[in-house]
Amino acid sequence: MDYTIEATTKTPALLIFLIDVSASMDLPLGSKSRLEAAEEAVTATIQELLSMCMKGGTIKPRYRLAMLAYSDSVDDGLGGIQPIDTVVQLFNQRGPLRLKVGRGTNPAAAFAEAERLIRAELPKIQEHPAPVICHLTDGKYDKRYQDPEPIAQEIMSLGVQDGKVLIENIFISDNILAEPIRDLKRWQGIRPDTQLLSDYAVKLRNMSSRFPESYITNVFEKAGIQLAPDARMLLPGTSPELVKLGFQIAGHTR
Amino acid sequence: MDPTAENADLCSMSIENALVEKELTLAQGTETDVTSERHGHFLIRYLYARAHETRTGNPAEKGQDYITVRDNGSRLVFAVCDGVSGSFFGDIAAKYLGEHLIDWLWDVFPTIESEEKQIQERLAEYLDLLAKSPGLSIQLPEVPADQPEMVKRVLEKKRNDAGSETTFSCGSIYIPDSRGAVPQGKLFCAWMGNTEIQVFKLGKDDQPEDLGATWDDKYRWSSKHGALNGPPKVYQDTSDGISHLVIFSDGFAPAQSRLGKFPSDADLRDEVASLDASSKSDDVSFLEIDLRSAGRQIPESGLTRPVIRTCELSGKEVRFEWEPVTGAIGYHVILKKEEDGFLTEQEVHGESWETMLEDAIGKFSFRIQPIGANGVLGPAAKRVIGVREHQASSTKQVDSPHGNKPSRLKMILDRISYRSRNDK
Repeated sequence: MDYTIEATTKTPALLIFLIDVSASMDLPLGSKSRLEAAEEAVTATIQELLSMCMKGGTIKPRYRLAMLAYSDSVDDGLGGIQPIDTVVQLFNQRGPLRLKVGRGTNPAAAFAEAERLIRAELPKIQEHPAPVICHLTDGKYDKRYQDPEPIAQEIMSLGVQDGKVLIENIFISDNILAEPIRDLKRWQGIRPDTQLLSDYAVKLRNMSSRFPESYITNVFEKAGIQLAPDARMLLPGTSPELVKLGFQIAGHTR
Repeated sequence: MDPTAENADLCSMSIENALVEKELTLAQGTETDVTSERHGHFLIRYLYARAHETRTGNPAEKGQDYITVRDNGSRLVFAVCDGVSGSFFGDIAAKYLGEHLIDWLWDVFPTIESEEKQIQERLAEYLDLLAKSPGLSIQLPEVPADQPEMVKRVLEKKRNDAGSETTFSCGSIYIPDSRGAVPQGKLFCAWMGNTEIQVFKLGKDDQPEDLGATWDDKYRWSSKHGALNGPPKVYQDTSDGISHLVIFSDGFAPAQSRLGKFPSDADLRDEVASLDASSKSDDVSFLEIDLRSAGRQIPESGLTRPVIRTCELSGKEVRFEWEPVTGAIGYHVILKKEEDGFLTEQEVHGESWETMLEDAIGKFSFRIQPIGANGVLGPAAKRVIGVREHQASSTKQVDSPHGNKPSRLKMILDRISYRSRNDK
């Protein structure tokens, strides 16, 4: 079964966060702005990853992270791929994560940079867990910019022994599902034939990997959620809690 | 009785009266190579290795497993614990619980009625009591103030939510004693989690017995909550049909499934090396308790049979002397009264032993075995002596250096009882 290699010090897992910081991310999501929800979700995820890395009082660097915030251009928030203990030090030096709102929306640039990082890593991480990209956005890319879908498809064709690179998308929008999620535990996920209300949601679904079986078993079933085997790694970020869940799912590499 | 008999069965002993108590604990902060030791009736073998990432990170860092054994040669208790690394300093919980389980098994367990449910309830109560007592929390470190804020938050959350957690497997073994309280011996095991116990019976020692166990680490002990997700599981049986036990932490589980019964030391070392090289490297603990040779020495000690040179009585004191055995670091001597199985037993250094005898007439056997440097016993020499009432006197008796013939001693014998504790 693919996607079963554990994140260890010897075989750390690679996680890349792509975060839309376009102007619309300043709009509200629940009681906070979308950007604040993203900041909290990223911070909570790093904290959870750190918890999985702590043995006694020592950090075991079982994860490596990159964080690319994008609007018209890409801002590399961590200075490339960093082991988690370095990320923790950076957070300690800089204080709480504060993302700066930009203007336009150019996800293709972010995906292109993510592809560059992954290609550089691939020769060294063949025996590691498959890399994961977690992308958060609240709207379609600007017309003047490239369509990100071909780049995402290219990334999903890359892989290691554990499996192909995984891409998860979290879409902050009220215009995704024809039927809202009433009971998360009964929700089967966004499947290939799930009716979606916006073209961009459809595009993001095309840019999303299928949930590996190990994720369904080790994450969703343990949380009591009965995800369908063909569910895509696309989550509707209709609340700060779902945004947080989306990031935390990305961190549950096995 | 043939005085030169090697393998005379001396298992039927009054076991509590004259035996040396030993405790073995493996250090968590360093590796222990495969080691075999003879502890009276038990031959134990053990090893411990920290996870690769622990060993190659900070060399002083402790692993999360804990192995401890206590015995008096005829009774043995053990505990193998595996601290939960995702909890708050799981290594400390493993040590704390292991120490307390040993104490409970040694001191409290023998006083409990033998029904499994009662034992399970008493053990569950004890586990919860340990969680409520401040003993462990005192040992847990404070969250270091100089750590990054995120680290402090994570550690505080671990401490407050889960506390310090560990899985465990433990047990108690009584050797069969036809004249004592446990004629068929006794085996008791208890566990929570995925530190596995395998029990093998004589004649069926290719397959472990079905203990009805689910080796799942969701079952564990927590310093905050006591027994988690259910009470400890228990298993009981007589020990007279037991070949051996193997207890191992989950880090060793992939190796155990590949190894056959009684793997060689070399095979064990190879498996440990293989586990260390794998990306899933975890702390590795292995404990094997062999009961097959109970009462008999293990061959291949390289030691020769002692030659009893002298057996003499002076007043109430009986004294034995023997020729030194090359390679022996000491001698295991037993004086047993044949009629009622009463005995006195001791490990001695030097080539003589003496003891006081009191009122009793009868037939006695003196048995001596050399002890090798690795704790293995060599072949036994035996002398049978008999005293009839009208013969009791203070006559001195000397044997020929080459003879192992029964000799007639004029002595008055009585019960001798002593207990000594070997403090380590």
